Amino acid sequence: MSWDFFLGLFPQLVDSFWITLSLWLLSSLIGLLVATGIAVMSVSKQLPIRWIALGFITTIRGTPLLVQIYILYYGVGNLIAQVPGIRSSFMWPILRDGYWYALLALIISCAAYSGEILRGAIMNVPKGEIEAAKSLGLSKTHMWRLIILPRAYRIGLPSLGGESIILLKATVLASTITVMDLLGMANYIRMQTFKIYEPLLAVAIVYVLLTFILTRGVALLERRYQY
Amino acid sequence: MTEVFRGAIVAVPKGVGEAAKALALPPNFRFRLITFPLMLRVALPGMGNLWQSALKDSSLVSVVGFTELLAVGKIAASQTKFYLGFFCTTALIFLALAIISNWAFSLVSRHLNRGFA
Repeated sequence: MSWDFFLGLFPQLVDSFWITLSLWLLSSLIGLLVATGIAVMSVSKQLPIRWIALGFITTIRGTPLLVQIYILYYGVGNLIAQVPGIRSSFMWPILRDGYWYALLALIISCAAYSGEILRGAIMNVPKGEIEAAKSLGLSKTHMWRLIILPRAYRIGLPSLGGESIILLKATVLASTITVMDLLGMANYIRMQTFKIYEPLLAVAIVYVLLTFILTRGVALLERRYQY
Repeated sequence: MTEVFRGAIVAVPKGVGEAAKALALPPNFRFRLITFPLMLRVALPGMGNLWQSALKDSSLVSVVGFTELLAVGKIAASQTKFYLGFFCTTALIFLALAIISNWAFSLVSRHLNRGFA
């Protein structure tokens, strides 16, 4: 294994590193927002709203992420490509690119898993605090925004951190739909130079570093927001 | 799986293990009749999670070329250009397998929890 070649790999991985990082961070943050909505819907008192939320969570958690990515990219992408006149419109460079389909699939998946975690956290908020909020006369919006949701985020913080690490490893699947993320670039280098271990080892090191940074960040947040 | 089993063995009450030792049962009898059934009750949710995640990760094998369910679906879809239909059918098959496994695990869990509150 030649060290010059190995160290010369890292500058080539910079562009794909930004793609992986943006896929991971965007899907984490937007997925967390959607997950909050799903979790609030799943503890609602009206049965149809609860069924929609629980059905969404069960379906997305019961099917593999790769199948969801294929449904969006090949299935929906094919339908979009058949719309007459779409190829000459200004949206075509966006609709043709696999990055947005992978981002949408990761957002949906993160929303389902984080929604399940937040649902458990909302149900574990101490009832005494909710009763105190009601006795103070807080409206439902204020009660949710000031009491229940902050408490639920603190309770669910370790599990949400673990879910983010799983999401980082799931962004690898975007390389199967022609997104040039870290693994896509590693495969490209492998096919150009016929060296198998060096590109994959370099990419593995980058993923370990990212996971380490995230774990430290979550530990820092846990220490600050202990309940 | 090792972590799940380790946590479950630690969760068995110490008094039960000491009572089994007081009865002078040999070690393999102690494990087979006393520790193992109690440990299985605690370990079952973790095992259920790992089972479901292994079921979904089996679809990743299609990326390295082995023809399993998702790979066959992809071949069928690319032959007939009926992408959405075949991939949705594959998703429904995975979902049916997941729902049936969940139901089976809940049956076993109810059987194992039959002396406890």
